[in-house]
Amino acid sequence: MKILVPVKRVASLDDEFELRDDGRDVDPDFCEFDLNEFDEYALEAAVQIKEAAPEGSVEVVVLTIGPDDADDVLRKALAKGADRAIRVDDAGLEEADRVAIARVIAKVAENEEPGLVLCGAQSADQGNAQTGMSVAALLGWTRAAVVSKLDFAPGAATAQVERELEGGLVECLDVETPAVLTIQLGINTPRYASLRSIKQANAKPIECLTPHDVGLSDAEIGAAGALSRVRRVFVPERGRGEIIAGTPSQQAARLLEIISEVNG
Amino acid sequence: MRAPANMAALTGALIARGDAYLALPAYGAEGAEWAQAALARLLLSNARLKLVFAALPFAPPAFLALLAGEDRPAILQRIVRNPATSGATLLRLARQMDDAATRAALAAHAHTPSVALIGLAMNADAAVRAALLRNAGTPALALHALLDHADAAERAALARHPQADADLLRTLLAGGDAVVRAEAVAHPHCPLTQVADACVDADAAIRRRAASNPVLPPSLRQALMGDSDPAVRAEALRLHAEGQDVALTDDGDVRVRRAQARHVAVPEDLAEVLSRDGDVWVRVWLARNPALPAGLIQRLGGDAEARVRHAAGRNPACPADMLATLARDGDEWVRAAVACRPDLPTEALRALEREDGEDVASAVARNPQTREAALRRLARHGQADVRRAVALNPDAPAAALRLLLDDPYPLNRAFAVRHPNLPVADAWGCADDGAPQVRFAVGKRAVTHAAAAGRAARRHLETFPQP
Repeated sequence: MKILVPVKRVASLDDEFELRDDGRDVDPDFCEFDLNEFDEYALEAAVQIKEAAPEGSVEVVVLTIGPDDADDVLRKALAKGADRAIRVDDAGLEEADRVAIARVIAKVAENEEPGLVLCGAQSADQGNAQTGMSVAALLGWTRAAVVSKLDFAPGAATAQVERELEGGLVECLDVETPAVLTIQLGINTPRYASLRSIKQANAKPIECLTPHDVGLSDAEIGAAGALSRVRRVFVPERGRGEIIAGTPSQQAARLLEIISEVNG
Repeated sequence: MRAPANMAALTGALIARGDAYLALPAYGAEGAEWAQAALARLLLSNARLKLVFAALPFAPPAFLALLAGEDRPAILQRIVRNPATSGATLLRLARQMDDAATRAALAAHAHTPSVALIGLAMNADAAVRAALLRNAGTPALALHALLDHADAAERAALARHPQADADLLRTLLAGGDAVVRAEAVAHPHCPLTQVADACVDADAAIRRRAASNPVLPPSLRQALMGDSDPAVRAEALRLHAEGQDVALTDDGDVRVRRAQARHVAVPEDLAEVLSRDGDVWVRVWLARNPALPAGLIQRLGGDAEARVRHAAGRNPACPADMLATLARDGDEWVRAAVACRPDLPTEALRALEREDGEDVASAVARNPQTREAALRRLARHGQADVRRAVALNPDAPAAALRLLLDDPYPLNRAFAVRHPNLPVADAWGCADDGAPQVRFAVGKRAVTHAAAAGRAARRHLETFPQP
């Protein structure tokens, strides 16, 4: 049985950054890239299922969509216990939104036929939380979002999952497989990769495919396959705010002034 | 893998590897001057790296000077805020950048030369004024320039600035504001007559701040120790110098008793009373007091409150038998207090070496007397903090440090690479590490080693000149 774990190379911004000239994203010079934290939990959940099963009975396949540089996150995933890595090159996917990305993942899932697809609940940089659910919709598989506990024996017809709801409620579900689950932070403790496993991962091959290789047509990739388009990214003007400096008595006096101003 | 033996070979190897993080420490290093151009090409090859290195506080100042030749404002802004940037580079940037953010960053930088700080003070906006007042290096002349338009908060900041001179403080005191006066009379440069006046001021807050003046004459301090206000008495006592003949008497106020408990000249009879004090913090401070007689430390080591026993265990004067007793304490935090002490009796340390709890294990891992076998076990502990403690042990043997080179946590690998007991050859073996901070540490270690070897070779040549 396979478990497919789609992972994303996410950007974390420097304290200060600049936008791209087209104003639609951050200049990548100001970004540090790493494996999406939510995906680390999804990967750990997959590796734990593999480790609990008889040796060789479960294969964890990680998938990312991106340029050559995204191989780094795949190698990190391999070092943490994934068995195989696939990268779909993002040439031609420049205008892809979450749904267009989900089309790629769904095609890979169709080809790989995993018993489970474990996604991070959301990406740390954009936080849409849509990709995993879009994959499930495209595949027509059972889905459960924001999973906080997962119990699954490879080959079983169902997985037992728990989801945290508002008000401290926990929902327990039996989910028929194959299924797409999006995994919440805290479901487990992701492992650090040892230096030895990092070195071993560096020697493993990464299967590099194009969107066409996985079976997508031109009408399904990039802008053509997207349902939304980023018009503009900007930093909104700051609201009124004042740091009150000085001694406690001076601060108190200024606070009184502000209260008087607000009250008219 | 053998590390390159000298700076020329090392620099050549660094350039050949093409890794900017590994090569960064070599820029500007003694003996690597011949390769500066090639190193510069490597270090400046990537727009992202330029931004990262511009903000890196460990970047060599010579490299930051080179990077200051870039024209991207975001890079220059980061250099101006980088604590490693030299005064000369800051001056150069001050001449070419005159925006408000740069001026404020220059005003705040510890390396900005005095002449530039004075220039900034002459025409300072609110952000620059605030930065100059926060900068401990701002010279008195610049502070005087800020005085003219200073508001109440700025006058208070001027009065507490370490470079404020007597003239400035005199002027500020003449302004009459109570908050400013309180700050001024606490300043070591405040004229003595003004401090003496403050000691008899009707306002207890002024007297308390005068009591905190570190150069307050003993006679004035003695007088304040009899003040009617307990906060003034406690403050006067806090800085009361050892050896001055002042009787410390029983006081009804807990603030004063806490100050007494911390005092190195606490009389034995008073310490005896304080050791039974109902306030835990009085007993904690007393238990930490290194001037305390062994008998009292013994008593406090048996206190019902774990915080007090912990403090006794950290007291440098704690007798060996008490350390051994505390090593068997039921509270892990108390055992941890003694587990890191090199003077812990051997038998007690051996018992603690067998513990796995994070607090005790971390403390044992830092202890220079811990055996190699125990350190090797702790280097494989499940908690990253415990493993890092091995790398922080000044006497950690190479065998334990080598285990940390395979630690999954990059920071632990970086600490192990920096450790002087790890042979340079082992550190150099991590030159391909996946974590940039580890590779930087490897480069730094190799450069430091090669530079030292070069100096030793030159000394040898000077001592034994070749014919």
